[in-house]
This record gives sequence, C-alpha cells and structure tokens, in this order.
Amino acid sequence: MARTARFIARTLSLVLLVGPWATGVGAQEESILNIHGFGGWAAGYTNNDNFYPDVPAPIASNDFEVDNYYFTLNLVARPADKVVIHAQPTWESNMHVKRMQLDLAYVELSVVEDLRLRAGRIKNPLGLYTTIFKVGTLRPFYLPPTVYYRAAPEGYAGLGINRIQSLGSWELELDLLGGQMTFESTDFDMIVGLDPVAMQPVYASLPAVLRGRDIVAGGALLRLPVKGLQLGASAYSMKLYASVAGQEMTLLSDDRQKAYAGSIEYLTDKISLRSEALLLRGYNKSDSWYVEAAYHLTSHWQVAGTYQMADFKEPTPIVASLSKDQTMGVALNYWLNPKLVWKLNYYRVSDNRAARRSDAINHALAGTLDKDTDVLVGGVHFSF
Amino acid sequence: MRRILRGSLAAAVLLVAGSTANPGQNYKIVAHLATDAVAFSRAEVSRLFLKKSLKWPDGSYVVPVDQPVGSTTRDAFSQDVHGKTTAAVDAYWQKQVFTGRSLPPIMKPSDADVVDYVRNTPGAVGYVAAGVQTAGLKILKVQ
Repeated sequence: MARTARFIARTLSLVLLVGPWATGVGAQEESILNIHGFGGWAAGYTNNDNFYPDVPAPIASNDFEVDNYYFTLNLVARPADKVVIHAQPTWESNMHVKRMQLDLAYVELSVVEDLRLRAGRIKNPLGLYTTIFKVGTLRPFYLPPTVYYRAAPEGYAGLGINRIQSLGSWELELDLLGGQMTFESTDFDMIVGLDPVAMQPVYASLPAVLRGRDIVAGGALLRLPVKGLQLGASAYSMKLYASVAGQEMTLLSDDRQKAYAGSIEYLTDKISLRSEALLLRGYNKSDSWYVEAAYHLTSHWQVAGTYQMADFKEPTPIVASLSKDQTMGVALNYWLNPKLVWKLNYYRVSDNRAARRSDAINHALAGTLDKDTDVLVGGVHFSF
Repeated sequence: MRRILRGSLAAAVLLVAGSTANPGQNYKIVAHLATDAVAFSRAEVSRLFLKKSLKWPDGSYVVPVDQPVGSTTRDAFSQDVHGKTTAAVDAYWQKQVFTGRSLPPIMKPSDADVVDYVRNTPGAVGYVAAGVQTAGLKILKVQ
C-alpha cells in the first residue's frame, strides 16, 4: 500500500513538474515534451485450478482475479533538432507482482532523413505487437497473442538503426540492432535431484529468467501498394543465459540461439488480419504461430477470433502437455471511441504451456493437471 | 468564336483558382501564401498529412495542421484523401506515437483557428469546410 502511494505521488510529481512544458493531453502538438499514455484493467476467470497466462503475468484464475491493472506514460522529448528522447514508465499490478518499472529509455538521433540511430533501452522493433505491447487500443483482444508473445521482451539494451525507404508506392522499413535483452520470467519444469530412498528423480517447476547477450538482429517490413497490407521478416542470433530460482546467470549452450520470424498484417477501416510465425533454433527449439482476425460490425461493436499454436520441442519436455499450447479465442468489443474500448474475451486453451498451476510438473505427473482450460476475460483499455 | 472560347476558358481557370473547393468536395485544402505548390494528387496530400512527405517541392518543411476527431470536415477529408475513417487515421497516429516513429500534426479546434494558424505559419497546410473564407491563403487543388 505504501509502495502504491509512493508510485502515485511520484507520478503526480512528474506530471506537475513537466506540465508547464508539455502539450495538453490530446493537443497533439509537437513541443519540448509530449505526454501520452495507455493502460487497462481486466477481470479473469478460469474453470479449473489453472491460471492463465503463465507469462508475463496471470490475469485469470479460478478465484476470479480482478487485481489486474496497469498504467504507462509515454514520454517523448525533443531537446534539440534531430534529437528525440523516449521514456516509458509503467506501474502494474497483478496476482504475481505490484511494480513500477522503466520499460524504455533511449535517445534517438536522426542522422539523415529517414535514418535514425538509437541508444539505450530501446523498443524491440521486430514483431507486429512488440512495439505496442501494452497499447490495448491497437488490438482486438485484451492480451496480445499469448503463447506467441509469452516471453517476448518489450525492449532491449543496446544500439539500433532504423531506416525507412520510400520505393514509390511501396515502403521498406529496416531495423538492425545489437545488445542484450531479458525475457519475461517463466517456469522451467525440471529435475532438481534424486530421491535417495525411492531412487526416483525429484521434479519441480521453478521460476527462471532468460537473458540474451551479444544479440545481433535484423528485420524488414515491407508496406505494399495495397493500402493496409504489410509483410515482415526478422532474424535474431544471441548467446542464451538463464538464472533459475534466483541463481547466477549461466550460459545454456555454446551454440548461439537463433530465431526466425515472419508476419503479415492487413488493416482496413473494418477489418484487421494478423498472423505471425516464429521458429526458435538452438538450445531452445520451438515452433509457434497465430492468426487473429477482427471485424467492426459498426463503429462501436467489433467481433474477433484467434487461433494460436506453440510446440516447445527442446529442451525435451518431461511431460508433453507442459510444452504445448493450442488456444482458440473469440472477442466481443465495444469501442466508445478509438481511445477507449471495453473487451469481453473467451479462450479455450488446450495443453499447459500457458494455462497451468503452481508446481505444474508434479501435478502433471500425478495426473491432477487439467489439460483443457476455459478462460473468460473482461476488461477495458484506454490510451491518450 | 475562338476569342469567346479563349475568354470562357480563362474565366473558367480563374473560377477554379478562386473557387472554394473541388466540385463535390465539402472541404478545401489551404496552405501558407508563400507555398510554392498549387496542385497535388490525393496520395500526395495524404502523405503530407500523415507526415510521410516532410518537404514541399521547393525543399521547405511542411507543417500540417489537423482538426479534432469528431469534426465533420475532418471526417470528409479523411475519407476523401486518406480513404479511411477518422477512427482509422486516429489508430494510425496512435501506432506512430506509441512506436516512437512520429507525432501527429498540430491540431486546431476550428476552421477559424486553422485559417489563422496557416496564414501565420510558413510551410503550413490544413483543411477547412468548403464555405469558409480563406483570404490570404493559397488553395491547393486536389487532382
């Protein structure tokens, strides 16, 4: 409670401090400092002992969770011509954490027109939702495609180059980046020892943090002459480290972890279609993809559907269902305006990578882990 | 006869140059008087207002000015020039802002404010309702 009060006090101080130099909310005028923001609240229910999703944080459980909310300030300052500073603090609360963190803080220098150098903790530019991960008014479901983006970091620490090239009625956007990224904490299902009496392995699901170092990555986004249609491709290479249960970070493999991704997006006034596929190769080997479609019945009412699939193949799973996910979801949304939307989502989740309970591995071995989970999420998203 | 035709043509050209808007349009695009341009395609105008084209043909910077969401003039302009609803254009700007790519144009709350701002800002371009008085501004023709 004291932390909450401190956060609110800090945020208000910041707003009051920068207020005189900032543009008014919604004024949209470029000045020294521009303040925007977004946030949301959700209530979530599951029909069994599983919570959903496992990362970045569960918002639904059998106890009907209502303590899910977040608020993010998006600050852009232009202290000089060709120099832009971005910062993004977030305060969030869910059934696992209450925290304030700085998602992003970076400087951007326009070297020449359409070529930008970035340094700091930078938005991860590769992926349809990574740059707008928390902006709920830019997607039809309360959550981004869950298992696809389950551990994707919103930012990385390092350097980046961004170039937008106009090619007549086509447009090509290129990104190159290098540095380090820390993935969202997730549970590792593993053998932690040997029972000396039964001479049987002892299993546990332990919290782990993955970190990619020496990252080299690149991506291209091609906007086609067909209005609203774009194709993307990206690739990452990194050394992968892990810290399990708070232990020291250790290198998982001498082989570099590689990732290859492709995307397609088609947006019109009424329709949005998105699909992405990701292949991980190296210490972690997995295939995942999703499709998501939404349709505005009127300017206020929108319906949406999604299918998501993931198969984590290596390290070899102890119980197959803990490394797989198939999710079907539907949504009914009411848009008060483009900056405020009420959402009602239903998911049918099969397997247990994303829908699981504490100590999932032992429940799976004992046959007490439900493989199918119904999830209901209702909430609101806003931006300004 | 040829003189009459030539005279009619000249009158027609003058009429277009001084007209409030293209036929069928319920908005008109206004630019600062010093702007060295008179006609653009819809796609070019769209690029100016989406900040994809940053400069006028003479190399000076474009300063687009928008009207608020809910303005009927903006609705007409968005649909005709961008081929999108105002809500879709607003979503485009949300994405630009939150991905750190760009900021939306300056926004003025009324036609009178747009006229005033464009008149006093070199490089500025905006749009106002077709019937609004725009003395001292250049009217851009959309081809």
